[in-house]
Amino acid sequence: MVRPFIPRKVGQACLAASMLLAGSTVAAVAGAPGAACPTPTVATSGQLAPNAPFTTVDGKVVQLDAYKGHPVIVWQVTTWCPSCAAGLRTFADHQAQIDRSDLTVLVLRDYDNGGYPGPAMRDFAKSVAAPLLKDPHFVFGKDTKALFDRYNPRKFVDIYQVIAADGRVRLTSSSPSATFGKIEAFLQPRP
Amino acid sequence: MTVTWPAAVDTLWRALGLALASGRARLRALALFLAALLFYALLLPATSTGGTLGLISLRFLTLGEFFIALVMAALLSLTMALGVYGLRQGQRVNPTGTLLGAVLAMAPSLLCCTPALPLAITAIASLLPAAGHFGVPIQGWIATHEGTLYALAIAAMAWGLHGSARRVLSCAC
Repeated sequence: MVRPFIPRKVGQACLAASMLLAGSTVAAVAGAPGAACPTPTVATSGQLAPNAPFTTVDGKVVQLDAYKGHPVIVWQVTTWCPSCAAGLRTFADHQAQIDRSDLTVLVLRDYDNGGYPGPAMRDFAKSVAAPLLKDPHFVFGKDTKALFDRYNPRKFVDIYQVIAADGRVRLTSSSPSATFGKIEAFLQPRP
Repeated sequence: MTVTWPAAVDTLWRALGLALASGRARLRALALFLAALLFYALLLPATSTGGTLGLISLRFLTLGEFFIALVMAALLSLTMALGVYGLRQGQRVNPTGTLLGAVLAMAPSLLCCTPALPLAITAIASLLPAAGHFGVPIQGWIATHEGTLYALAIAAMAWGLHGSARRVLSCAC
């Protein structure tokens, strides 16, 4: 019987080294500055926020890209959820602070309201925090299926993303009533 | 079996008289009541915080929720006092009603607006796609029937208390 020229252990080591090298090359190419970085189809922290349309309570269709260059919160709610109402009250409590900042809060009803009936978005906002309806820093409306799929694929009833001025998703969380402290970090004064 | 209100109150009164006869038993029941009150005062307003418990949820406690917490804590601590007395007398314990009440009381806070249910449904739906459609409507139902669920929880706990009182009296001969 002829012994193989390369001992088995050396062969395994070479295979492992080549796999590591290939892996690091792929990682380096992916992370290289200037490399093509396509916008993901689902909102992911640290990645560019995908564009999607929503409809305001006045019936106007707006693209998320319209807010490029400014921080924005995409908050998807259901109008029957107590934590959503509490979250809106929390935003109302911090209205002055938000008005001094460059932040816009998009309060969007899930496109099918979480599969359960509830009041219309305007009625919900009116009953919980009416002054916010007239505040330009707050935009009320409902999302589209496209926005829902991109920003809430797991169908949570109370979820938000903070998109920074650079267009990247910087935070994904839920229940602003309990997590407003995280949002405060993005309340920078208007440039 | 028919339970009349005055008879049920009389049964409870006599059973509690036996179970809380000693100062130590009263002290234990009071300590448990205060601990349960704190627990429910933290738990019930978690519907407003998406399931987050702690000082943050305490900030959202309403007068109505505080009252419910008082009732639940009283029922739980008295049932426990009767249960401990019954055990010492060699009686069996049947915590079904109290456990059912305790679980029902937790449902709105921990399920209505938290990611727990959607994540569980997603996991189930990966195996059984049809199940994926039922997740969020359940949350909507829980959120809009909070009062009913608390009423059922209190009724179950009261039933548990009544059962414990009857067992205590059945061995007090």
